[in-house]
Amino acid sequence: MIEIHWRGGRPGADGPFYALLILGLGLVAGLLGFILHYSPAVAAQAVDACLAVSESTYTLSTALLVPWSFISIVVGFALVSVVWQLLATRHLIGSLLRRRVPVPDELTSAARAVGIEALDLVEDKRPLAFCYGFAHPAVCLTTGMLDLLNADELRAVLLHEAHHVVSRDPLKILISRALGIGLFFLPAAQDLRDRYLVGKEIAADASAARVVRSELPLASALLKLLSHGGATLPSTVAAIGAFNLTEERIQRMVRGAPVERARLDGRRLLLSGLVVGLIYLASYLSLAAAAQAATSVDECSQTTLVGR
Amino acid sequence: MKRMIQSFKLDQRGLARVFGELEARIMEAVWELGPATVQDVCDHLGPDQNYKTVMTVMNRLVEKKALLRHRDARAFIYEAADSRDAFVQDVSRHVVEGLLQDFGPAAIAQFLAAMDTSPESLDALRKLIETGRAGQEG
Ligand SMILES: [Zn+2]
Repeated sequence: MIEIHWRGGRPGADGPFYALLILGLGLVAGLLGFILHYSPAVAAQAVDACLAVSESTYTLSTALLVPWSFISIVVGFALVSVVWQLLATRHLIGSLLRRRVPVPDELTSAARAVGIEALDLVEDKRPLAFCYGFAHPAVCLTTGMLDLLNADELRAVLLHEAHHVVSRDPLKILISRALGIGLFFLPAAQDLRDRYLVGKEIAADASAARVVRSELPLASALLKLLSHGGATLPSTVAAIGAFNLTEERIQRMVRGAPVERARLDGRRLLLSGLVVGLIYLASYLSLAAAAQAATSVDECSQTTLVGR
Repeated sequence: MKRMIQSFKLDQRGLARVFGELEARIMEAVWELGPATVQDVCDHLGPDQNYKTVMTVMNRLVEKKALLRHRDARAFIYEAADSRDAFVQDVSRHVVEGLLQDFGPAAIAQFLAAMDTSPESLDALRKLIETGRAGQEG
């Protein structure tokens, strides 16, 4: 097992998120670099007047297909995921906000006190609280949640959500899920995404507990919701397979351990490294071979010209 | 409500998506008539309705919590549990959410996003709260 350390505390344990982002951007940038590096050979070949040109044009464009197809797969899958998530979010938020009711003054001031400027209250028996929106995240509460919690618990839940607002977690969730899908062939990418999705909740809990200097209100809010049953929206954690999100949060509360480290499985990391290596090797081999062919075509054209 | 729409038929239109054909016609009749007996519904549906069949289906709708039943002086009175508008809205909400559940999650950060706890964790949580409260009082 390899341990990855990142800074906890404010605004959140975002290490896995940024690692995932770098992994995705790095992979695509590296492949683009390959293509750019070898494109002079492509250009040289395009203006070539040699008789053999048609055959080697074929070789070159086929060679470019290898890195290009990897790039298109990653970017394409990620984009499909982004579009789908945006639609799903719009549908869900739209169907809830249709039942929006005026926010009582005490609730507005309670939210302001913890740094939440935008708050929606929705008429719904299910006790729900969540943060949504990408540019300017807002918090949404249901009347069911207000009925269930006492003032201390509500404050702790608002503090938890305020943490998501500050660290713009809805946007990070969107991106990390898209990258998880775009990089579906890398187990390490799935692990980083899951680790981020769990880590942000634990960081939000820790942030709330730090302000009220107690785990208690958060713990009792969680217990009330868990005993109430059936109080979740269509999952925001569909991606998480290896982790038991709520259980992890409870364990952190009970043990009171700070959340500063996560483990990545060594074998999955190694496998991911191998896959990345293979992708680069395949791209390199096909491009280098084609560039070689182009050079020889180039020489061929020069001799042809000299010959004339 | 959840139980009522467990079988959602994408190839059907309107209420037939969540009800059988006769169920849908009975619901429409009750919404139109207001509180009604089986006989009232039978008369409303037309002459060729079998009383026994209608009664069976209406009792099934009571089980599905779409209809409420109470006893009057002479007979059972049936009533729709929700207004037609409220019902349709509720169905479409559940359908949207059901589709989301099947095909993809929304990008929101929910306070409690998963109910995945073991009884041991719940006990541990309970204990934490109890000892915490005791500590505060003492
Ligand atoms: Zn949260």
